[in-house]
Order: sequence, then C-alpha cells, then structure tokens
Amino acid sequence: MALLQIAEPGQSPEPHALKRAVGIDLGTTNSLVATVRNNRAETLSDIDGRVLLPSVVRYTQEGVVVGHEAKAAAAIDPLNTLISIKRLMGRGNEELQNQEKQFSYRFVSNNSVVPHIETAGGIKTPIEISAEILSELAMRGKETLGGELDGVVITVPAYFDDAQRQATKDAASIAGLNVLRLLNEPTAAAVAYGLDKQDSGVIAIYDLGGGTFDISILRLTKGVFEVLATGGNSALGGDDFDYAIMQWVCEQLSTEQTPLTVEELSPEQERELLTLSCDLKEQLTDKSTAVISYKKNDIELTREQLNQLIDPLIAKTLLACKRSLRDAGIDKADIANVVMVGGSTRNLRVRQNVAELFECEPLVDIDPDRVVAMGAALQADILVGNKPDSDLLLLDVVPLSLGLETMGGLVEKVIHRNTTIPVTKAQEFTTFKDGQTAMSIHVLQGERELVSDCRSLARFELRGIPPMVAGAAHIRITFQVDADGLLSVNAEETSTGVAAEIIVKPSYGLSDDEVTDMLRDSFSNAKRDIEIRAQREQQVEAERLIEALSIALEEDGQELLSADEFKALSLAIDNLKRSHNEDGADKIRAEIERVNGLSDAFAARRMDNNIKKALSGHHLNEFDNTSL
Amino acid sequence: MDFSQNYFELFGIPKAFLVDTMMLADKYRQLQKELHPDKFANKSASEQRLSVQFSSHINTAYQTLKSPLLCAEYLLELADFPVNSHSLTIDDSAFLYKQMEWREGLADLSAEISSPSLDVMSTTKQLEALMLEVVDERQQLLESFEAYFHQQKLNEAKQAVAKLHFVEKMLSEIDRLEESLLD
Repeated sequence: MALLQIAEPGQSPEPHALKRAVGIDLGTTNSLVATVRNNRAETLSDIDGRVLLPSVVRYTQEGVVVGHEAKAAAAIDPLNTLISIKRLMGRGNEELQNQEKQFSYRFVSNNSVVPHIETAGGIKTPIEISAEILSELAMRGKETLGGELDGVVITVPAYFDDAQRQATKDAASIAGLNVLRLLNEPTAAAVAYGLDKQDSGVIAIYDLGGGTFDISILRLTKGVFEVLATGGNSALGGDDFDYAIMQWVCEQLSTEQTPLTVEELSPEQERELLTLSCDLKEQLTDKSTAVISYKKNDIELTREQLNQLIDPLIAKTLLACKRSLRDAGIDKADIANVVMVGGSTRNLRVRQNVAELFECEPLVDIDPDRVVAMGAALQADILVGNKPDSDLLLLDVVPLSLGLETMGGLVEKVIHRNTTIPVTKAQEFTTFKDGQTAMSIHVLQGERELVSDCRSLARFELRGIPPMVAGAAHIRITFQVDADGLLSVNAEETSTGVAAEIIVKPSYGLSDDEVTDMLRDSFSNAKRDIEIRAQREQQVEAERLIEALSIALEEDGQELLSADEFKALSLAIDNLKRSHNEDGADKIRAEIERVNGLSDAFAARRMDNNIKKALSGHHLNEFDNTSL
Repeated sequence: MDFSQNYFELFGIPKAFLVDTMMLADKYRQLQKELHPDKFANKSASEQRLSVQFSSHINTAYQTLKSPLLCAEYLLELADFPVNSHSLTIDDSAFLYKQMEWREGLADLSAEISSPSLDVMSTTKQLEALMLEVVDERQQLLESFEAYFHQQKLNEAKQAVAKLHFVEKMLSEIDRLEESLLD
C-alpha cells in the first residue's frame, strides 16, 4: 500500500506538478519570450497584444524603459537609448574601434575591459542593459504563468564565442533568472519545426538575424539531433543591409555643393536615415519600387537596386554555408530540409539564393521571428522536468577552436571546432627554466595559427609549481566545455600532485567582483535587500535539491543505498527542509553542502544504473509488471 | 561509471579495429540519452557534475573509436605500445619519396591558385586527382595496420600509424587548398 504524502505548508505540495519555464530569444533587434501550454509552444504578448519586444533600452533620470516606448525615443534621445546592444556583448573596449561608427554612444574610458556607456541613468555595461531586456521578458512570463519562473532557456547565436556566452549568462544572473541552458538559436529552430518527429535526415538551418548570421548542419536520428558543423559571422545581419541602404541614400542626397557622407551625420540624423532605410527595405518585400521622403526629397529605390546593394552581404553568408557543408562532410544533395530563421530571411533575395545553393525550397511556415523562442520554450519545458519521457536530445558543438599560446606567438589547439560538447581535454606542458615556479598561460579562441589573429579569452598565472630542473615538471592543463558551451580551465603539476594556483583574468568578460558589484547596484544598495536576495537564492537551490533527491530516493534509494546510508541522507534532507525555511543564506548553504556530500555516492550509483539501462536497451520499469 | 574501462567495454562492443560505425553510433546515442547534462538540468548539483564528466568521457570515447587513426593509436596504447606522434620516425624510403612527390605537387597547385592566370577547372581536377591518390594510400595503410595488429606485429603496426599521420596531414592540406578555391 502506498503511503499518502502530506506536504508541509510553504513547500511545493506536489513534486510532479508542472513547472514554470520559458524560452527567451534575446535578439539584436527584437526579443521574445515563449512557453509551452497544453503541449504547444506559444509566444507571449504584452497587454497590447505585441509579441516582439524591441531590444531597445532607454535610460532617463526617472528610470528605465524597455521596448516599444524606448524605440520610439531612439531618434530624439539617441545617446540614452541603446539599440543593437547584443553586438557589444562579450566585446572588449579595444574591439570597438571597428564598430564605433555604428555605435554613437558615450563610451567611458576606464580600467575595465568591458565597455561602459554613460547614460542619463548612470554608467551601464552591455551586460546590465541586456539584463533589463531579460527582466522585462521574464516579467511577461511570470504574469502569464502566474508565479516565479523555475527556469529559463536563453538562446544565443551558435557562432557566439566563450566571452559572448559568458556575458549572456552574466546578464541572466543579474536579472535573477535560473538558466537551465544556453541554447544555440539554429538548434532551437529545428526543435520548433518538430523535425525531431521525423525519423532521420540531415538539416541545414540558415539564420540571418538583425546582427548575426549562423549556419548549422544537423543530423537527426531517432530524436537525437547531432550538430555536425556550425559556422557564421557574429557581426553580419539585417542591420548591415540597412546600413548599406543608408550609405546609398546619403549618396542620393549629396549634391556637388553639399556633399553628404555617413561619417558626417549627427547621431539624430543617422537614426532617422537608418529608420527610413529600413522602411525602404521592408516596402520592397512585396513591391518592386519603394519611396521615402527626407527633407522634401523623394528617394526611390527599386528591388533590383536593393539586390545590388545587398548581394555582396548575401554572398558572404553563402560562403559560410559552403564551408559548413565541407566541415560536416555532407554533400548538399544530402540535405533533406533547410529551415529559415531570423527576420532577414523574409527578404526574397535571401530566400532565392538559399534555395539555389541547397537546391531545395526552404521551410518558412513558422514566423522566422518567433521560431527560435518557440524552440527554446519546448527545450525549457523538457529541461525543467515537465516531460520526463521525452526522447529529444540535442548534442551541440564548440563553434570555434580553443587553444593555448605557445612559443613564438603560435596557438596550439586543445579543442577543435565542431567537437561535440560537453568535452574535457587535457594537454601537458613543462617548464623551460631550472627552478621555474610560475608559468603564464594564455587561452585563445579561433581558427588561425597566430595569437594575434585569434580572440583572447583569458590569461592565467600558474604559481606554486615546485622548483625542478627545466623540463621535469608536468603541468597538465585541462579544458572543460560544458553543455552551455562555456569553458573552464584547470591546471595541475602531475608529478607531485600540486594543484597550481590559478589567477584568471578574463580578456573581455567581467570579473566575479564586477558581477557582484552589479548585483548589488541592481538592488538599490540596501544591505537588507542583498541579504534577502542571497537567502532567497539559497532557498530556491535548497528546494530544487530537496525535490530532486526526494524523487531519486523514491525511485531507487532502497535499491542503491544501504540502510545506514539511506537513513543518513534522509536525515540530512530533513535538516535542510527545516533549515531552508528559517535560516540565513550561509546556514542554508552549509546544509546544502552537507546534503550534496552525502548524496555524491548515491548520484554516482544512479548514473551507473543509467549506463546499464542504456546499454541493455531497456528501461527497468518495463519489467515492473512481469516481476511478480 | 568505471573510468578504467576501455572505450570498447564502455560501449559494450567487441574490441576491434574499424568498428561497426552504425552500431557504435547507436550505442553512443543510447548512452547520451541517459547521461547527457540535459537529462540532469533539474537534478542535484552532484548529479549535474557527474553528468558533465560522464557525457564528456562518452564523447571522447566516441570520437576516438570513430576515427580510424585515433582508434589505431588507441589500440596500440591498450597493447602497452603507445605512439608518441611527435617522435615518430619512418624508415621506409619509398614512402618518404612518394610523400615528397605529393608535397611538390601540392606546392605547384598552391602556386597556380595564387597566380593571376588561374584555371579553376583544371586546378580543381588536378587537386582531386592528388586527393584520390592520397586517399588510396590511406586505405592501404589502414588495411596493413589491421593485418599487422592482428598478427601482433606491433612495431610494424606503429609504422603504419606514423605513415597515416603524414597522410592525414596531407589530406587536410589538400582540403584547405580546395577551400581556398571556393572563395
């Protein structure tokens, strides 16, 4: 006979109740949030019925506005209204030089490697600005689902490097969100199309958004998507179409007496002309000629002229497609489906070119603006635990090779691009001087051989290497890329077992201290608020742990644990249950650590059970009915 | 998970060179379906940590067994006859001579590609002919590795691996050149 469970007040009464999870597409131009209801993914709209939230944040002395209202102010208040901020995520101050023309903000020069922008609301980083957009969308999710979110999946371009992914995750943590996974946009789109319901095949995902271009080649086998290759350009998108049109518009407005170049435009003029250029482009989606009027000048653009302006940009995307096909070792004839993602794939010229390249009509049934958020919602629903029987699994890859600087300014690759994640790889190095006790390590990302051509991710100092003769020390450096595509690095001197002390300096990211400072700032500096937030975070963590372990114990605690182990773990869980309602953050954290320590062996045995299950090809519960 | 298990034991397949790739892929997907971090996103921190370790280990094992060269090296390693790819020497002058010829051919083609009078069609054809020759050599080397390894002639097997390294490097250079023709 089953025992009835009575929940204590304030605890999750029904562990199997549906969790609240959303998928967020944090885009360059627009962002969206979607969730799964009644087994269907749907994008959530605001009170005015609008699904797209413009990725625009405006700071004023009164506060911050996000979305349509902010966008409307872009032309009148360009310095405090931040658009296309995704392009600055994970970018360093020095890298701004190339893009500066497209960002006419007031950049502050300071010691940080992350760009800081002066606004009417204070000095802000791209990470904090993105956090505002995430908060706005999370709020929409909370209101629709009627409570705090248990978890979110945030999409990123597949081609995002480590610094850009880390910046996105930092933004989520400032917005107070529990990130279940950073998911690559193209993979999300494949999920949204329900292509996993098909039996098998190779799929290409062509994703041209406002600011980024991605191409991914995926193989599907019985519900498992394996990304074979991914490529693209994290600084190429529909914004560049607008920019090319604006340059042309400037040429039309120029006369011999009054030449007009893009470089001479004031920020206000530039915003206005960009908006008009975008308008021209959109008119041409269903007309062959478009007209705008600027300062009593009518400017006419034909579709042929537009095509000439954007063809070089489209050609760049096609080249990346060919590269990815080669990387994947796939002939274009083997591609069963091409999925179109991103607002810029509405452009007929783009569709036509893609159809010609892959020799098949691309799929455009789902709104290309919504498809990524919908896929993210479906994945969030699975990850949060609402669909324990789902067969869907996404095996993604590292988009760009990861390596270390060696002698002569060369890069030694440790993990090659298109390696399936998660992945762990170690490389051994040695000292080159007698008695050397420190070593400086430079981590890079990119395909080229020279350090100067790759992107610097971090610099490490290894200290405390035991003094030995040159070449005797064995320094093992381990790279681990997790399922979010985020890298962590460890180092150890293996002959003596001394773990070397590592000091990390992220080249383009925020240090942990900076993130903590921002968190503090976002909570109006009141000490009490910070404590409450810290306590709340630990409570949420404790609840997750209690629930996960309670289910695990119920499933196979009796089978896998000795009576003593079972008792000890149950006792620790009970203590945590008591503690998490009453105690402060530190006490709860300590209890969590205790429970974690006691559950390690249990976790390992459960994993071994999973392996056995996988290899026998049967689930144990299949035999439940016959065991009597 | 028992990390001392070899990769063949891990996948529950017989220890052999050039494994049945369909079966291997099938076992690989079954294991990832149980162990991938996505299956532990709402589980305890210990399980999440373990899952990243296990899932990485399975990925490495899969990549190793899937690639003929890596699998050959792995088999030698299991036979306590590890290959250090940095200090391999080849004492087969016929092979070295052949390899020099290939290199010269590649250098000529590379020069053609950067010359203004490039004939894309003819260069592509020559490049493909060279590639076919090298691919053919690779096939022979894989077969001889298999035979030597089977007969426990590990020194000879190691020589085959050394030559395979050259061949793979050659192929990736041909590949890179072909890619530059695309641009």
